[in-house]
Amino acid sequence: MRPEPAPSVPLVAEAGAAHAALVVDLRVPQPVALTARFEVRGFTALLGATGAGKSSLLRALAGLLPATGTPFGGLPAHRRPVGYLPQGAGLFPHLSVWRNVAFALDGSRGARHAAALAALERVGLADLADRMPAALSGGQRQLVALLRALARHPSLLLLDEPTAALDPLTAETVAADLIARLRAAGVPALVATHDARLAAMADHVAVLHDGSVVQQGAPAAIFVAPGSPQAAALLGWRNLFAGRLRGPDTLEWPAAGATLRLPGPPAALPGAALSFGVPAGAVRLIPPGPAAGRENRLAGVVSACHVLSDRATLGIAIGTETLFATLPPTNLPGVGDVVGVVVPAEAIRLWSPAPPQDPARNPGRQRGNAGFPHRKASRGHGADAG
Amino acid sequence: MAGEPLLALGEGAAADHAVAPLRLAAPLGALALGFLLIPYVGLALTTDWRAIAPSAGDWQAVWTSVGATLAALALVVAGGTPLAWWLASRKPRLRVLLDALLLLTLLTPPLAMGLMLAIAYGPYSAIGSAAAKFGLELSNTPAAFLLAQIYASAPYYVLAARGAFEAVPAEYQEIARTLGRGPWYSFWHVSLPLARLGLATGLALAWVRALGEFGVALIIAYFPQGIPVRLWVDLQDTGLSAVYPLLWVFFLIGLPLPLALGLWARGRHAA
Repeated sequence: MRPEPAPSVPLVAEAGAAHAALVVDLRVPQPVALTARFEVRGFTALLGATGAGKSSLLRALAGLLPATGTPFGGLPAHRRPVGYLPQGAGLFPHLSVWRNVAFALDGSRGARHAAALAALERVGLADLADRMPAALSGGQRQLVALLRALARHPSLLLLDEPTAALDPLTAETVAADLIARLRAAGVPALVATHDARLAAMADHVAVLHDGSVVQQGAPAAIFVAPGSPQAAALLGWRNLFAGRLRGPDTLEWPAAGATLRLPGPPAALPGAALSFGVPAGAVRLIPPGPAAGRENRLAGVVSACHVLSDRATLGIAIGTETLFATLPPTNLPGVGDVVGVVVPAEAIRLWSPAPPQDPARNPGRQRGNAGFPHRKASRGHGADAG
Repeated sequence: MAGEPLLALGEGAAADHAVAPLRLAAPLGALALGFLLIPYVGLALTTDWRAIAPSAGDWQAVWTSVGATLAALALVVAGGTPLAWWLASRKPRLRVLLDALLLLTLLTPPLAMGLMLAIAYGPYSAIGSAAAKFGLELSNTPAAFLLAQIYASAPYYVLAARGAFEAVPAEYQEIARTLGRGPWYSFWHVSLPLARLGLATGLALAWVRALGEFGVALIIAYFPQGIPVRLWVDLQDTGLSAVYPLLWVFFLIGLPLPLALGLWARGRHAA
């Protein structure tokens, strides 16, 4: 276990350097019981559904909620070397921008003013120094709150849903800007979010589900191989279904009335109930025809078709299920058309058991992969799934 | 497009609905204000403006009232602000009891409060006789007058201040803590300024209550005479005509502080 970092000593000195890990091992009894063990590496996303306890975990790390464990165990909130940005940035509404930035600074008014102005200057917000927070845009508020937190030279930044209050277009820009600035500042950050797109930009992702961190790792690894259907849902996988093993390499999909071939024998006995998922980007369309019977070729009816910029999402009704496919927006079938789809065997990801009742309670799953990876895991589809 | 006029009509109708209560509110409000002003108009019309000079005793009452009210307010703010803050942060377990106690001080009729103060602080009470040993008489003295004003005004200030502190989101104090600031710093620099609108309202209420206090003072502090008791004495000794000068002076000295507090707090609030 890492020793408690001394206040104002950054854990990560250089942007781009291999990220030193800050180990978090916390137990929070209230208001959501949490047992979280994971690492913070650079810009780390804490991905969880609404109500999963992300905010509580952040508040516990800031010392605002009682918790036991590391880091900072036992230190009162005002002695912890953390910067905390709540949802909506939490700028003091009665203080001007520069006074907000200077809030944590000691010294004469002149010295604090000069320091705050210098910080605002560096991010191009010096013009706003005398404005009140109500006159700022959402992105500007985030930035001012960040400067206010950084003034104390924290060892860890905690950001609660930094983009939740912004419209999607602004959110993307603000998030990219925020990450660039955090990397430049060289301060590790833990960002609570339910937004898979924000998690995709992170250096490291920890997935919070049912009271504990069920999976962590680099986004590329996590998005391609979610450890559980819940993690997959958080990561934006929409094709999540229940199935049953029929043979060593055969999966029955009862709701669709279909049978799927698997690329290799999974580590489960035939007859076992499983959850499985398919990245929407891996699903291929083929002309309708006498496809039934051929391996992993299914027939369905287009039930929805949404085009967004360079990508179309098709909902295809198969049995009582809907299979989503993301495709280039050209030569699309219309709603109501009968289409053939291919679900590539190597893109299918299995999880067991189905439904996993409580993966959180199993301590052995803290870091690992709760699922049954095939001999070859699917690659390259996860990030653009859904 | 066919849809556009329809949409515009819908919005126009909605706007009309929003404006309609306002159109009704203006004349109704003017009517209510006029009703409230009737006594003042009556006073203005019946005042003999050529014989408006207050008597020497009246001026004495003015200085007594103003001095004692300012001193009482200082004590009410000094003691009432921490109490209000504590009440605002209390856990719900004690909440009902504390609310009941606060309401009790608020709803006690002034005359009854005067009697209760006489019982608690009078010359035959434990506190009164103990204070007398140190040369502090607690009836019909400036100290008694101060006591009457504090008991009359403190509940109003505490109630308003508690509401003001409750309205400050706890989040801001938490952020202050994560920025390395202890509870004292965050109280002075976060809670207090954010609660200022409510605190100013409470202060204005307390000023009005203390300055105009009659019932409590009548029992425990007939002397030294403040403005309200002096008005009563003028009426008894001379008649209605003697009341006018002091009443106008009362309005003149009573109004500026609450008015200024309101303007200051709202001005800062808007900024």
